[in-house]
Amino acid sequence: MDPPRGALAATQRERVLAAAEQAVAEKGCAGATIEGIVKLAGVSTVTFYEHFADKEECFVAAFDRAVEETREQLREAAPARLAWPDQVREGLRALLAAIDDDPARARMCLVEAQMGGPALVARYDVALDDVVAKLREGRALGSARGWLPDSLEQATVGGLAWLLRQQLELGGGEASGGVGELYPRMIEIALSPYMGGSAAMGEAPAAITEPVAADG
Amino acid sequence: MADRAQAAEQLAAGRTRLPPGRHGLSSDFVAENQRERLLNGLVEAVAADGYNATTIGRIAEASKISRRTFYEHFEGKEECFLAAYEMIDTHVGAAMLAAAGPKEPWSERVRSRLAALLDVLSRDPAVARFYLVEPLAAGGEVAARYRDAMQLLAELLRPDSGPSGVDAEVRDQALMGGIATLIRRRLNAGDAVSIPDLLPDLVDLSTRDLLLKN
Repeated sequence: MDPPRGALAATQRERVLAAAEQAVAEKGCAGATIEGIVKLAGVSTVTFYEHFADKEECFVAAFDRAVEETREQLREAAPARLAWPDQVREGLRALLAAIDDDPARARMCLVEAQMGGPALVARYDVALDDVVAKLREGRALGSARGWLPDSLEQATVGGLAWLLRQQLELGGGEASGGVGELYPRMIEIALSPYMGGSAAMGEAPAAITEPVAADG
Repeated sequence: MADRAQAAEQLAAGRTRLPPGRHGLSSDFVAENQRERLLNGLVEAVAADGYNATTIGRIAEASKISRRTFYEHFEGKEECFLAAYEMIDTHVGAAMLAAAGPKEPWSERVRSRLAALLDVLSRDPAVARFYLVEPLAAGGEVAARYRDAMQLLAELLRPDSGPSGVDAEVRDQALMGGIATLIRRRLNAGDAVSIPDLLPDLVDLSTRDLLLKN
């Protein structure tokens, strides 16, 4: 069935997606029901099924919408005309601010998406792969080390996403004032393979050091 | 500790079922054996259906034990999951420790311990999924237990001297989050056999000044 068209339909769809986001953040993918979503959205169940085949399809659309809007915020904060390290710095800063501004959305994207069905989990991986590709651009920098393992960026992004998830789901810790407090450590993890530690923090590029002989 | 590691090994190998018929064993032994069968059944059920879709009925079926007996051992699915997680975690930790003691030079120790980790996980994808994938799908208490397990693994990979406090904790978690992500991607792609190929990258991530500042 083709989704309905027109201004009213678009508004309805938007309302359903916003409601789904709220429901998932509050109750999780398993706990959120179509009944609860249509009630929050103020639309009928029939309308819901005009837009989505099932709950999972609706969650995937809500996730995609949240990711696209966040991506838009990041593009604005870190435009492509900036040098790559500044794109990463400003992008991360904007991401952490967006998470602290809207913890429910962040919870859906960084916690609940991994707890949904296979389609949603796959979308989550695709969204992270965008960040992986952006970080990989750092390999073109003259200061990048020559021996970077191929999976470095996937590991970096997975590691940073895990730090954020812990903060959102399990709370407490150093950054109880919000994920913004994680910024200095996260930016160092993201940039230092390409720039060295102090340069990653926004200082002048440090001399490239050879890896320390690893015998503890 | 040694007993539990052994039990975990049997659990992982799925060899804990009693032969049918009268066995004349003590009730303690039977209870312990039932418990292990339940843990084994849970791992099997969760690997097949995912944590959220796994029901007590399915665990009972997979372990060939009645639902009633399940409830004699566990209050519910989460408690059973945590008990099985404990055993697998102990098994993984023991395998890594057995691979290299504290006297080995750090880089050798890291390589041997990571190789042992990848070996255990590639040998049984059900155990690997249970250990690294399903806790993230389960959330809550289970995710908190997973975080502790990752912390323990990170400690087995740490240099003898290095940063301490919050810095060390954040870097430990970033490193383990990264390592777990790489393994998880292979599992999700149905490619458990190639997990040991990750070793050189994981050694680099753990010993060079990449995710973990030494």
